[in-house]
Amino acid sequence: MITSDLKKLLDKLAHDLRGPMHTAKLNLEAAQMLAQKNGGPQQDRLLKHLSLVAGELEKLQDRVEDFTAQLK
Amino acid sequence: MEKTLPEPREKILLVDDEPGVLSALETLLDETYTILTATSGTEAWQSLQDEEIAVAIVDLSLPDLSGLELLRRLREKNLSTELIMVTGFGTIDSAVEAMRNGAYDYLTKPVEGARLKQVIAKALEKNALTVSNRAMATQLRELTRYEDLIGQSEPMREIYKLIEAVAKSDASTLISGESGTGKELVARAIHQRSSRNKSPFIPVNCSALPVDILENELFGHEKGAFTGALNEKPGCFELADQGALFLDEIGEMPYELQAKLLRALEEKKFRRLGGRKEIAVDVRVIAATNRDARRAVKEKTLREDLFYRLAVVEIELPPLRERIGDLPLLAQEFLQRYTAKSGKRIQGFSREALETLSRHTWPGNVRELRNIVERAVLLCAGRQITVAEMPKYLFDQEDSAEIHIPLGTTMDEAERRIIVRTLAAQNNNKTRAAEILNISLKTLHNKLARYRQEET
Repeated sequence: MITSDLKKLLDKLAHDLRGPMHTAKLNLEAAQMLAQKNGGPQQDRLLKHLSLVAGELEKLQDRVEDFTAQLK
Repeated sequence: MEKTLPEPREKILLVDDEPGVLSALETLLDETYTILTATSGTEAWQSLQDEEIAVAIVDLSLPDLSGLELLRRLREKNLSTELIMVTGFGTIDSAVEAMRNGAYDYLTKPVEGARLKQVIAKALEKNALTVSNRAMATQLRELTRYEDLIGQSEPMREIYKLIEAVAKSDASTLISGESGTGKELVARAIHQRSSRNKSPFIPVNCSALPVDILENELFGHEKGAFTGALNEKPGCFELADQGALFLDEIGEMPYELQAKLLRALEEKKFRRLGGRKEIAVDVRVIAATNRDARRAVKEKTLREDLFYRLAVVEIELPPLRERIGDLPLLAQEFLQRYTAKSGKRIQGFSREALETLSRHTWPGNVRELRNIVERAVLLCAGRQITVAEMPKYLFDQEDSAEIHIPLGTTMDEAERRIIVRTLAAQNNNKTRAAEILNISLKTLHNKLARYRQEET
């Protein structure tokens, strides 16, 4: 059983996590776009790393959304 | 590589207090758009006022002015910028409120770049439409003329707006208005403003010709169709292919020919007189009438089905007396036109001459005015057109159904003029005049006796 105070706190936490996630995601997309465009010998490796970060961010986002859904 | 001219890029304003968001969005968008950024609401408001921003992407919660406040100011100043709100999940209610207050859309964090680009593209379309509509509205507001139509009165501006709207479609249009109001000019303006303007505009007067000749005019004939048809001849329908056919005085068209016209309009094809082959045409039809078309339908001189086919859009031109404010503008225009032809150096009208023109009721409308000015230019020897060059009938108020009473007239004098003129119009029949004036016969007699007394 979650008390309403705790619910509020968790809600705020979810909200607070979305800000940094938003910034991180957009910057990741920007980095991916630049990596695609600029080529270079290390391009494949760079893209691979970025895609890894993207996957992890995706997981994090899913967790936050599940979590918020359960609070409702 | 293919070289293209750089197109003017739309300005996008990004507003967020998180510099990391701004730099990412800038990288994602600056290939396509000119990007401006602001980290506070105040800074954003400054940019919105100084620059022509097409779309602003605004974080709902800013430290100083909220996104909602920016939106309110935008609407208050009637700026055309479209606003896309970015919100955290917890602030979804405010997002809904933003939409209600005219935000273009809202996106919840974390935002995907691809989705953002989609929304921006749509918002830009809307912005472009708003901007061009406003430009057109301003243009029309300031206009003293539109194609060959002249006037800046409210009814004429409405006409310009209608023409502008109608021209974009292919809808059949019926123009009504007294003779001399400029129905053909309206038809030509519609054609000029339409995508068909490179193709011909063919006018046909439906009242001037007997039925056989009119039919021949409209549909043409094959060689040998009738005695004297030595060669084939295309009709106006064919000549107007890809363009517009203007049917003037449609209400006067012989009834039996109306059915054939209707069929050609509906099927978009017809046969020449004496022809077997069906000819397909793509013609926009604009018709005009100086009579009340609905009454003509009731009186069975205009087929109802033809009326509805033609009157998809109706434009009713005001008579000159209902836009008398345009008279100086029109008079000046005709003056310039005929002065240029004559080689004279007439600069304008005397005040009295203009007043005389403004008082007239213009049964012949703009055409009558044009003729009067043409005549005056011919007669004028000086630098100014005066009442001396005006036709006498303009001063013959007796014939007119209206009385001119200038400001400054006393009640007594006004009453006297109304009574005397009503009586004259009724050939001195006092009983009838009293009835029209809604006074007793006795009162009328008393007043007339008093006038007689005052005169002696």
